[in-house]
Amino acid sequence: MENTTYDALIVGSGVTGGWAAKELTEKGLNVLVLEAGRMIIPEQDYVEHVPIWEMKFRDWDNRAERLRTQSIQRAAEDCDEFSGKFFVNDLENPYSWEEGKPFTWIRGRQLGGKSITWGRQTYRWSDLDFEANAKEGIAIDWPIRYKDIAPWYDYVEDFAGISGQAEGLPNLPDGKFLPPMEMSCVEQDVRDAFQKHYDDRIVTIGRCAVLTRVHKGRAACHYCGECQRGCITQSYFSSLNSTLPAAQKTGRLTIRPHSVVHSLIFDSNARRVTGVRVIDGQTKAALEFKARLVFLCAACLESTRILLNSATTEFPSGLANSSGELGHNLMDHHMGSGAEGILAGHADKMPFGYRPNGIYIPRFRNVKTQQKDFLRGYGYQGDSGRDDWTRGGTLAGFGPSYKKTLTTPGPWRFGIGGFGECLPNHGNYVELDREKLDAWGIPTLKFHCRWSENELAMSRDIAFEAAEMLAVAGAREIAVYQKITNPGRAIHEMGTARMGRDPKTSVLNEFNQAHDAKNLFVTDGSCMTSSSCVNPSITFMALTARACDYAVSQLKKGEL
Amino acid sequence: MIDLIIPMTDTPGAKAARVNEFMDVILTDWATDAERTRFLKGLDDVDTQCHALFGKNFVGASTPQQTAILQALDDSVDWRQGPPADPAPSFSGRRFNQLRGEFFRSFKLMTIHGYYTSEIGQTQELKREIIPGAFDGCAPMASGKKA
Repeated sequence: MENTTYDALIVGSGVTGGWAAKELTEKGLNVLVLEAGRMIIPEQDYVEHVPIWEMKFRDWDNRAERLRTQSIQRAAEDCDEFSGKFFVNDLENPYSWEEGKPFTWIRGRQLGGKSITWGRQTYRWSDLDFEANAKEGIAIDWPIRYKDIAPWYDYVEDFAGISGQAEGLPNLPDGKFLPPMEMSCVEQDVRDAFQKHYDDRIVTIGRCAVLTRVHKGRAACHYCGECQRGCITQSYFSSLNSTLPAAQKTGRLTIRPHSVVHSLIFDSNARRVTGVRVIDGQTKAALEFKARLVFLCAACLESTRILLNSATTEFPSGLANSSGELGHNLMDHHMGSGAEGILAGHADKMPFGYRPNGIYIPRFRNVKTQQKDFLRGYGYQGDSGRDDWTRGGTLAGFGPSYKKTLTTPGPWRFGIGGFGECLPNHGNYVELDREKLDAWGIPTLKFHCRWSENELAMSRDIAFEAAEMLAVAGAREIAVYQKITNPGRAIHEMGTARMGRDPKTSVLNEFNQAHDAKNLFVTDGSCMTSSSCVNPSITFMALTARACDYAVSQLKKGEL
Repeated sequence: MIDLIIPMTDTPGAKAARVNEFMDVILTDWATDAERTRFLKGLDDVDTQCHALFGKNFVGASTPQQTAILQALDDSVDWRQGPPADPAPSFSGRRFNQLRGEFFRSFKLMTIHGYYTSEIGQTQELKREIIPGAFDGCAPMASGKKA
């Protein structure tokens, strides 16, 4: 395998790596996917239908092991007794941060990456997002607009299968949706209350990459509610369920797991990346692979880390870093603000089935006019349900009547939590720490990232508005919270290899092509020039498909 | 004690659901040394209390006597308050605080968790379906659907 020159090498098999594999193999290229972690065998590794009584700690988790090996990853709710195996071992994958500026870096490192455990929420950007930097004089302008990416949103949404409700909102463009999932009784009440009370905001069902009917040979969701544990029916989008099988069908895909990429090999005369240096994840042997085209899809910070570690005498601060922007302009969404309360009525109704989706309140702040003392805006994800037996831990009593109470559903609860946009800031960055190495001897990242006053002010507004909206919905016992999460905690990290028109101020051009190396494309979250407030994965998918289309057309023209 | 908290009714109770085995696993492989010690002392205290009141230890006492002890224990806990918070303010993941509170709070929490996550609890009492097959956001409860 080491002597073969592939048409394309793809680093990573997650959301974007899977898409690159599908697109490039379907366009006729022989492709090698280098995945740092292990293979995943659905029949063996998926645990979505394992009954809770078969788990040793009944979902109270293997506490000692979790604290020992995943002291950071456990900040993600899904890093639990069932799905903890889809998150990295923190002992093998250390990193550091500047004192006082903690960063919660959540990672997957197996075939499929974080596409196994992602939240599946999918919302398009609009020009409100793409134009913001230019209009506000912040960072640099995006080199694209909505019209450039719209056909690619169409394309990836059509393949993945996105369910949702068209709402006609200019700043949350509709896609071609599969039927929307249902709202619960109280969510419908909240939606109706908003229609009466607000003219600037709505409640809609979540738009998500979960199938509500059979789609391209994949089964519709059966509402077991545990997508992050795997899905043997392929009913939500992940590389394992959707893109990798399509790539496999072409016969032109090779996957090499346990392939930890150390650095890219750059030929300074030819101005090309000629290949990739790999440390075998199991044997620690050093290997090289060659290709005409390289796609970095290792996830935002891992792709940048590889570029930083690929420094040459010409690029002492990292390959493809003539701009000096590599590692800089790190962003994430902020969470930690929201409200919840009890809603009256529907005592004789219950949800049936476990919906892997919630409701969404699209951004209403600073949309038509600049309203507040902060720029940009936020959206809310929300959910509802009836109190169940778990409330027994806060109820007095015991015996037959207590037992009966616990299996009688409690009141309906509804809650919302915000996702806020983060401004790009050169001062938020990562650098390589050559003193602190990971389990494969590769330098780790050191983070310098903190929220600005813009994020803090926005976080307060998110809580304030959430409380008011719960009151408008008629909730009682409203509990409001406002405690901004650490950068990284939203697991929407973006930036550090941004796109732009000018090679002096950006790493990638409008097609995710490195300004400094024509045959190198970077299409994961590292490419993002600003962050919007919506869940970003569908945008990463669209950019990847678009970049693949461009790369292959350039290849065919002899340009690469 | 577990069977007094979740007794047999029209469905089996905590003893039939082997909640004691779950508690053993938690005490052996999950609890910290301090949590285990506090819990075992709490069990001892129940016997001490029972001796003081009725002249026998808990397993030897009559059902009304056991119930009285349990009532006193249940009354002694402020149930509206959860267990003491994990001292890690900005951390948002699971906190492993189930055994941080007073003895009877931990005991009751382990009992209900052990019961409602058991096969009996899930299939017979809650009638929970792992594969519902559909989603209805507002389904009538008439068919005996449980929490």
